[in-house]
Amino acid sequence: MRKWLLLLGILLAGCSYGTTSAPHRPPSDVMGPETRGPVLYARDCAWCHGSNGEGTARGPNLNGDLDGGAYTHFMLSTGRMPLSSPTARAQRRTAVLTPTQIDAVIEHVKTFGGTGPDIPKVEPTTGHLGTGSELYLSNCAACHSATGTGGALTSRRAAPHLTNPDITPVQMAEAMLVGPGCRNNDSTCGFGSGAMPNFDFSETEVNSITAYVSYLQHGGDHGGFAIGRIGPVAEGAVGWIIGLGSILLIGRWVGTRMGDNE
Amino acid sequence: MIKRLLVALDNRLNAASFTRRTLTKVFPDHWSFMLGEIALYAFLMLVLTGVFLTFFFDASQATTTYNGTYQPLNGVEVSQAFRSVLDISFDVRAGLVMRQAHHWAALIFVAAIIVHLCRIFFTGAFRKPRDINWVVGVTLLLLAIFNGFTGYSLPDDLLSGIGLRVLYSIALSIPLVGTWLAYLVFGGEFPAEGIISRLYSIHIMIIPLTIGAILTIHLALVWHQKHAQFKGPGRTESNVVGSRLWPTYAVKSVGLFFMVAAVIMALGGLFQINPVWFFGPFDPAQVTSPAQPDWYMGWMEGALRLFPPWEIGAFDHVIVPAPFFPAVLLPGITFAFLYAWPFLEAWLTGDHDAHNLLDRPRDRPIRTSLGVATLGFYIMLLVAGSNDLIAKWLLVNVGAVTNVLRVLLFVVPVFAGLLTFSLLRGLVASGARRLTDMPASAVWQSWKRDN
Ligand code: HEC
Ligand code: HEC
Repeated sequence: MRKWLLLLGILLAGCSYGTTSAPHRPPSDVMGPETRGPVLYARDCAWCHGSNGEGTARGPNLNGDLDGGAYTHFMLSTGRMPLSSPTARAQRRTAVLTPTQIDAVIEHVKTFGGTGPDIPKVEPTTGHLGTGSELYLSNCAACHSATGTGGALTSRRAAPHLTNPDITPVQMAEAMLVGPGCRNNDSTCGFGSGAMPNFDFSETEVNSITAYVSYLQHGGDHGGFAIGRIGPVAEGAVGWIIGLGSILLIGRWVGTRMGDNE
Repeated sequence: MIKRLLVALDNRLNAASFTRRTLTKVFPDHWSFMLGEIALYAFLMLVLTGVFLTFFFDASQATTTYNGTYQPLNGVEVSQAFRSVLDISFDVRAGLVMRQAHHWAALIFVAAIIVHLCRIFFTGAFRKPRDINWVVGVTLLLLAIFNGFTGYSLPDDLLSGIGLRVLYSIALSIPLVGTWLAYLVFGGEFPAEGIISRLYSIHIMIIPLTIGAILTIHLALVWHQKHAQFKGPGRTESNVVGSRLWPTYAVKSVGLFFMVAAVIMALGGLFQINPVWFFGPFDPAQVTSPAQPDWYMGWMEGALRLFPPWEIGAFDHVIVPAPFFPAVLLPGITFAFLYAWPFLEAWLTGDHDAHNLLDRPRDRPIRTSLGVATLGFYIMLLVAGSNDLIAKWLLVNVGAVTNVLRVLLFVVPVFAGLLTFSLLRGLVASGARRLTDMPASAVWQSWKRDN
């Protein structure tokens, strides 16, 4: 019985990897935790980040002063890493690695000597919404928009929308700690440079901000359809097309006499 | 009894013949003649919803700690103005619907004026003797835009503060008088105490009363000069063929009012507009992006974003700061041309006669094409006002979007104008009744015939 399950696990793992990248896939989930990390790293990360996290032309180093548990967990759990090609945009998608694999890779990346923060503990429920909204408006709204819809940066990158319900409070806290993105100004950034700044908030402040971002994710619209929360652009479109448009249709109908075919 | 009273009134005021003349006045029928009425009814809705809002709005900028229904801002320092807008939105019965309906009505009001203006333009209804009413109408458009902007600034939220800051720097950029003017309007350096209450009296009294007065003139002129009509059997320069005010026209018009009101209230109830609670109170140190003005200011915002940061300076002094060209000169030229168009066209064509019969757009291909090209120009400016959103959606550099739009700003109008011109020539040459009936080859043949 155990053997069958094992085989099934191998098969499933093989299938899921077959869709993501290279064909040679070791059955990583059945390895011990000590070997799993290095093997996965060698397979999925080393060709871009170097076998000891020293970085290559295809990806930045992983041993800097922001690198560590938080950054790696953020990158892996949001599905940004492993990147499929050096010029692809690192963006949120369903995580490629399983939670166990992610933990293993994090442990391995930590051995490279990065001095960045570890995975933070977050308790949004203990946060204060009012403080959170003030901190959010003064620190985050410039890029992510007051309503959380996100916005363009000056580079090709954009600050993603935070209303996405998939973003977990831990990922929010990690983003604030490390400031994801790419600060380098060369090919290591692949898609182009541009990053979120990293912040130095206290634990209660982090809890309050995550509480407010969670609020933006799950509610806050009180006036009907939110029309993307992007403000006057969408409002203007609705005003013209739905508002004046329907009035004009009505006007056309009222203004035309029966049998009047002009 | 009632009859006796009426007879008594009539003996003194000669009311019966006046009423009879009024009720039997004839208006020509065409659906496009309702556009102005739509604007009128949107204005009426603005007044009705606006009066409701004045019962609860407080224009004071004194700070207070918000302590109301809206949890996420509890304990936050806000101005009384912002607090009262939150109260309207969350604590006043039907407050949010009224606030939203008011804002939607404003967007529709200006939109309806623009469409009405296009109708007048493309049918040549602005020609003598109605050139004078065109001037009155352009003034109404100007006032409507200005009142929209002042209203947008009242809630004292982050977005409206950003708008005011832009206005302040625009005022500053006017050579010689800029600093003085900015101080006069704002009563001090930005962000000045008391600007909200100034804007408030402008927004609810000065401009609405002016609009009311000028609107009366506008309508009185339509009444007195009689409505222009399209050419048709039995229609001449000196008669009006159509329906009587009573009952046909009046019933239609009242019906239209209710429909305009229904659409505006439905929007107010169904679509969220300007959710100030997200933006929070205005704080000069904060920004949010995307930040756009309402659409009727969007073309100016677009001009600000597209125009290169040129300044004129001398002896180490900036004499004409950058915002002047896109935000003062361009709107100035725009409205100068709008005002002058009837006279300009008469001068250009040498046609100084009075006209009571309207043109069809195809009858004047050059005017129509020029109009379409001009619309294209302003629509491109409007699009440029959201260059950051375009960049975000297309995942490209904002700078790249801006450069492409700078080119399109000139290419699109030329292309749209030429296309219109060719289509209209084809239409006339083929004799088709509508564009959709016209064979595509007609365009080509109309050009060939010339050569
Ligand atoms: C195709 C090349 C590529 C692969 C494969 C790849 N990365 Fe990356 N990685 C990048 C690039 C490029 C960046 C820059 C981030 C950006 O563009 O947002 C990056 C950024 C990172 C960062 C942030 C580092 C910093 O200091 O900015 C971490 C952590 C990371 N990757 C971890 C991993 C891990 C762990 C794997 C393997 C599971 C992996 N990456 C696979 C290219 C790659
Ligand atoms: C300078 C602009 C900027 C500021 C300010 C900023 N961010 Fe970001 N943020 C970004 C960018 C850019 C990214 C995407 C990084 C990448 O490419 O992976 C991002 C990503 C994020 C993510 C991950 C979203 C996802 O979909 O995975 C979160 C969460 C986040 N930011 C929260 C915040 C919070 C909270 C603040 C305020 C404390 C803030 N940001 C301030 C630019 C900014």
